[in-house]
Amino acid sequence: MEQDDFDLDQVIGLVELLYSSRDPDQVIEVQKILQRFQKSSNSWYISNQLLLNDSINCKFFGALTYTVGINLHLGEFSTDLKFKIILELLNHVILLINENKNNTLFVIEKLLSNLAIIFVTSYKEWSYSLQSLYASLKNKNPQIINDSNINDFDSTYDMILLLFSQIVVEETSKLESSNVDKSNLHKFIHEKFFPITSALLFRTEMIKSLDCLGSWIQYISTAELESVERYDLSIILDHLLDLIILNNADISQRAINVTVDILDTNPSMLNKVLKNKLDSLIFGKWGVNYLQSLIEDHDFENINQFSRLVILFLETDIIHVAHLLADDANNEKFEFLLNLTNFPGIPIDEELISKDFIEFWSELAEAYVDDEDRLLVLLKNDTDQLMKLNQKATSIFQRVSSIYWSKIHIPVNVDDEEFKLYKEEFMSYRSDVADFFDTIYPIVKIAMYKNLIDTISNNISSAKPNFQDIEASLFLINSISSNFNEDNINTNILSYLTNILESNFFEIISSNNSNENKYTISTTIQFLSSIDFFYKHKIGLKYLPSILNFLFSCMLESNLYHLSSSKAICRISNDCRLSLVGYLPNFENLIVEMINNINILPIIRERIVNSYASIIQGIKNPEIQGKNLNILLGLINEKCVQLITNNQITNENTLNYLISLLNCIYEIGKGMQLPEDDVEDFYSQEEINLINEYWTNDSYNIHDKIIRIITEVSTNSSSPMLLNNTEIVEKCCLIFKTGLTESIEGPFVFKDETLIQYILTKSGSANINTMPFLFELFDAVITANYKTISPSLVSSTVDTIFLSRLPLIKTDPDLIESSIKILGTIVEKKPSLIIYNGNFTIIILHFCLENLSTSEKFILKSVSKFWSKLIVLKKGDKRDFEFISNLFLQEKLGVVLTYAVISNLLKSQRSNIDNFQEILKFLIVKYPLYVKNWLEDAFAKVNEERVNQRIDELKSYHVFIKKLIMTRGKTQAFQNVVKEYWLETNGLFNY
Amino acid sequence: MMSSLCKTRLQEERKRWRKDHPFGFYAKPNKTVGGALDLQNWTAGIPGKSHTLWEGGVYPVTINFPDDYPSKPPKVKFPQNFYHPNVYPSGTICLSILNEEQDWRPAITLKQIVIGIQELLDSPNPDSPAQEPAWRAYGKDRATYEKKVKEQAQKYGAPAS
Repeated sequence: MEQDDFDLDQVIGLVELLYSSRDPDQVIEVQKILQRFQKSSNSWYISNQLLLNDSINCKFFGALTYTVGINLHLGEFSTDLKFKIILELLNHVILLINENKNNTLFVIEKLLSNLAIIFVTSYKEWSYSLQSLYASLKNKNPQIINDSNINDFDSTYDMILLLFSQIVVEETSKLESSNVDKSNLHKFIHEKFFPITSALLFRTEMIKSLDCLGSWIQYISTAELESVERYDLSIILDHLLDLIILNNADISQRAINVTVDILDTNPSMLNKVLKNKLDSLIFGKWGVNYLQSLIEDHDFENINQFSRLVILFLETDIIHVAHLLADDANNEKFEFLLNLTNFPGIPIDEELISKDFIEFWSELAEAYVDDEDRLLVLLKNDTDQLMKLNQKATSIFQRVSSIYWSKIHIPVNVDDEEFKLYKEEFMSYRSDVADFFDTIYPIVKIAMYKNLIDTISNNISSAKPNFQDIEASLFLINSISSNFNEDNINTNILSYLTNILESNFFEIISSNNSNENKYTISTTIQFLSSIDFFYKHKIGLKYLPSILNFLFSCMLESNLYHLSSSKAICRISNDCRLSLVGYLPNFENLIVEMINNINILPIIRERIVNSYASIIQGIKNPEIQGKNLNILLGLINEKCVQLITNNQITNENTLNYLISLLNCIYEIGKGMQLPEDDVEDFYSQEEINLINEYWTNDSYNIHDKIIRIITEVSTNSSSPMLLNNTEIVEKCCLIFKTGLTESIEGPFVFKDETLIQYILTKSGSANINTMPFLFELFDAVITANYKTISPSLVSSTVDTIFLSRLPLIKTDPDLIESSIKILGTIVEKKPSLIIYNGNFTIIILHFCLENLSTSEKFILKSVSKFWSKLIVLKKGDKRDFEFISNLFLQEKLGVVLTYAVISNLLKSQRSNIDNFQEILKFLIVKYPLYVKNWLEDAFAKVNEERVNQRIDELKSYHVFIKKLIMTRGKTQAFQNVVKEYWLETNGLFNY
Repeated sequence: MMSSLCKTRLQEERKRWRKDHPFGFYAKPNKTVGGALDLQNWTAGIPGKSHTLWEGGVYPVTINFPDDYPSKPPKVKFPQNFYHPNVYPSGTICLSILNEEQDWRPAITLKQIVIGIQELLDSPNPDSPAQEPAWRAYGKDRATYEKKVKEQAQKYGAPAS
């Protein structure tokens, strides 16, 4: 802004408008104009003039304009200029203080903030800021002092000096380390600034200086973290603790706030003496009386703050607290803590103390679980004392668990609007309590489990069961259950669970299906999911039918539970398939409903079908398996045919239903997979022979039935909507894949020809989006059956799905990626299946070379794999090796590939380097005698191209080649060399 | 062997998580056979954000803290074949704050990590593809992508409340 544009009256008018306008657009516009003034060469003059104006708005804006100028220009100022600004600011402070108006404090604070910014960034030039401020105020004349003598200070200006001190440390905390040497600044503040502040704090009424002390506490935490400075605040803090017990609620509460801050940010500020003093305050008469008075006054805010004080104080040395329990003299202290935890009211809604205490009790519990060695040292290696301590810990945590058990009860009226307001937080509280129960289980052990079970038993046998009690116990049992498995389960626990399930537990739970009871049902489902150790044990097996019956009724009864109960059913059926064979008939009606009812959620239908199939798999007798599968597939087939022939696939809903039916076949395939990795763990050799024989004959034609459904749904040319549907192809491919990993014959184990036929049929489809799924299926067939698959079948399939459709494949990165992936798999698993294909050297290699220049990460990854596998040829025989060596050496593939790798590596993104490195590494390892020349040739050609493109030639590549060869492909060294060279040629630095 | 720095920091993370963790998330160290805490291996749950396709699911992750944590980032994994463009087929999450060579800093807390992952769920990074199916669908067939994400949310659905 030019000098001519400046008009002070205009500025004053704008400032007044800024603070009076209610039009946001106008405010933004005015702000823009004023900011231009603030950044202009007149800003110092404007600041000064505005501060002399009577308007408080102008005064504040003047102080603010100083801040802008200081922040923008301070670094460029000479010492003289800085002093000039300091004197101006001091002058305004004097004037404002002498005006003695009530409403100017915020302007004074802003001016002091400006002085503080100058001081903390220029303390070497202006070392005596407090003294300067004092002298200026006392003499009513701005001056810069070079004297540190505090004894000359009288107390008139203590409060303003403390305010300045407070602002200085607040500004220091805000400073970025990059702008100033903070370590020296912290040293200066500690040595020169703090002693005066300390003296002022000491002689001032502490109540008046608590804010200043609070800021210093925060600052000291930062300073001690960022430097080697260590403060001794003991005298001041001793004063502070005295304030806590003053008979003045306001002072006491503010002192507690500062103490909480100290404990939260830097508890080491409190030395042992001070800690003892605080301990005797909290747990002595004062603590009890103070808490009582807060309770009487219903002062919940300060009750929470007091409990925070207690918790933070105890957490400063939790091991020490843990060991105190051994001494009966401390019993009252622990009683006090228990009473505080058990503060009346619903957590979150009415009280927060118990929430804060979860953290404390968890820390304490972990001290007993994980720090026994340290406890023993504190107990002077007295093992009797340790035993007593552990017994008392068990007892105290039992009581804590009882408190929290009550606290997590779901409020009776769950539909209450008030509950909805704090529900999310309350549920989080419950989850924290559940974690706490898991933490204390190693201490309280089985007794806690028994207590929880007893509350359930008592309620079940009661005429008027309390469902909230039952829910709370089940909820906590779920959390503890993670501690058990089949190997470590205690027989007592099994018998407690038996007692529950022997009673009319399910009847009682199901008897109340009101909305209020929804949590009990939901938690019961979780409970049944969490006790897998029980139903895997022979004791639990006989309860499986009643468990499943309950889960089925929950699933069918309400959409609230269908996801969780179907998940539990699926899990139980999978885990206990052998024991549930007798239960199979109970599924039959349900299965019909699941398959025929379009309104069932697909995931539920599929989970139940999977559960059913898992149990069928557990039958072991293939004849019965076949019979059941025949019925199941018959149901699905009937429904599919009905949907297709009656043209019922008219909308998204019916299409999703059909896809879900197809997915059910996939779920049957998954359920029928062998549950053990080793077939001999599941079947005897005799059974294996029987199964192989049965499924080879396949008396119910299960294989054909599956193929028929797939054909009807996926290759029916009369329905283009289905024919081109990507998801249908995906599901069909998944169905075929389920049998590929099976080590014996089975209903989903198909001949390679069958799968290939499907791939060939579908690959003619117009929808190219289905191709990646077909390629993946082909890839899976090769991976599973490369040893037995016919080479001519592979070769002809490659010709049909890949080579004959190459122009189409080249248009789509996904097709390029999935086709190169198959080629890589074939080369990896059995190279002879592809390398003698007449088109291998003519088309395939060329295609894979071309794609080294791609920018698509997935393509690059698959092409890197292809080349690496081809170079290494791990599964090749002598003939294959000779054939490929000949290509690399005689047919110059080595030269061509090396050039392609180097030229594309240099141009690639950093995150893609790995892919080129991999190929280069194997070239060095496999062709050590030739690779140097190949690299020389490659770089010469790259340089030739660079010259043509008027780019500087690469100079240091000879050194790079040497280094590369010397690494002999050893991973780390090799990677470093390539990375460094890539950075160098791209003009980048490593970080 | 876990360094003492690593142990102290993990204890600190445990404390910090207890003191302050976002609603709907959980995170805790696994237990050893003897019942002691295995601070280097945690199990956590990340809820899908409300009003997104991911809503309703609580997605489990495992968190492995290496011996030289916090110099090195933890490895965070969803279950295998988790459907998301930035999750590898193994379940490993591709996120810059979990990458030592990118944005990992030792000061990053567990809370920041899980919130970062929650954010990633509905805001995939198309420049860091980690798995082909979800990345392909996200880029080319958004309807299928959305359907699969919703199905996955049902699979990992939280209990009724």
